[in-house]
Amino acid sequence: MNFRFEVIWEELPAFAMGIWNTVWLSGLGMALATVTGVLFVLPLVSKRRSLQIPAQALVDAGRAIPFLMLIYLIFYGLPAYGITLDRWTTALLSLVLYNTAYIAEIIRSAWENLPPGQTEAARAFGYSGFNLLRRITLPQILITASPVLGNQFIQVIKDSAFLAIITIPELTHTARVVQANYFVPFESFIFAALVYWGLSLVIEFGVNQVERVRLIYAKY
Amino acid sequence: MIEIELFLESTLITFLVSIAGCLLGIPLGLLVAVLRLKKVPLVSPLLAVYVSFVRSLPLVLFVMLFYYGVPILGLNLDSYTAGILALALNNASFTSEIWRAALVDFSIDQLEAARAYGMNRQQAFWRIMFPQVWRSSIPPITSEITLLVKSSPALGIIGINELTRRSSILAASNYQPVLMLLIATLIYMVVILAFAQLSRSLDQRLQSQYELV
Repeated sequence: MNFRFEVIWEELPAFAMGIWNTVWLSGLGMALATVTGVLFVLPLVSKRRSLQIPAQALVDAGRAIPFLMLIYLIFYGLPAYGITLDRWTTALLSLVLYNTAYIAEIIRSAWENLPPGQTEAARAFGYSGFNLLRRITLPQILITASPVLGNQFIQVIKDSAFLAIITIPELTHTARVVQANYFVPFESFIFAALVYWGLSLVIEFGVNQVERVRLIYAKY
Repeated sequence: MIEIELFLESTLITFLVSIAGCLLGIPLGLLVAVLRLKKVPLVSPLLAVYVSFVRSLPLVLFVMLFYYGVPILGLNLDSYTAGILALALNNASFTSEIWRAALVDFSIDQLEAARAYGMNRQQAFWRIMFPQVWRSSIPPITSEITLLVKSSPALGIIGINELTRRSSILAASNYQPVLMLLIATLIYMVVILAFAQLSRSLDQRLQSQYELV
């Protein structure tokens, strides 16, 4: 049993590329999914049953599909209807679609637990509609939900490993290629694992910072 | 139709590996939680590292680490053993946090009362603490089980023909890719939604029976 960690060192540029692809795909996917999640939450909290029931059904269904299944549906299923997407578009689209349902549900629970005080005060000051949402409701919701959103971001990074299966050159795929080329299975996978660990520790740290700031403001 | 048989077989595989992962992972999670709370020197910090590390790993990577990486350390695992072990250890790291939260929340008064009645530590744990901790952990643990079922397609990467991999193979080999993928998706949805419904009604029944807070 002799480990060849020098192979990892030599392949560091490839790993750096893989890490970068994982980070930007997950980051962009998370950002876009937050936008679509917020848009999707509007019918979810709507009082109109004709909007609320189908939206809830979509969210429930979306949360019952495995991520890899969704990737396959987009990658192999859509071409049958004449829509052929390249793998990068597939990757981003599947990340966004998959996480919209989760984020909508996260935002909804934050929305329902929102103390009504500020919203009522804002209404009294003449805020309504989009401005009320953008300036008063949404900032509070996003800050309250930030720990859960942080966890979801970690989940997105972990899910993005499935994209290795459609040969997106992200971190897991890079580890797989390096192990296949040099036969260093333990070294390359444990290195990738440590990088994932590092990424999620960084996000946890960020969430803790936000939480600290929030607690300072929560006193007032 | 040969496809129906193949689908049934791979649904069974998904079902069995998930069950095996839960049956190993949930008790293991309890063990990890108890050991961490007991503050055993060396063991508790190591387990804390284990939980933090494994929780941040993509299951695909974890499965490959077991299947390709561990044999280098001198332990050969066939694909099912590697896959189930990875599922179980992954599940244990998540459920240990659920158990831990429930154990920490448990009121110390009841344990003291049990001790005063002459129960030893084991009896107090199994007769007083565990049944209550179990009941309050059922809802988060069932949602963890649905997450496990949804992450089980990761086992496809080491050649286990579970539902997702089987449907993608069928989609590539006959002329009905959409149908094949939709059948698999539907099976997942039925299983997962049925399970979610089951856990909801179980939770309600427990709430009304035991007046949990």
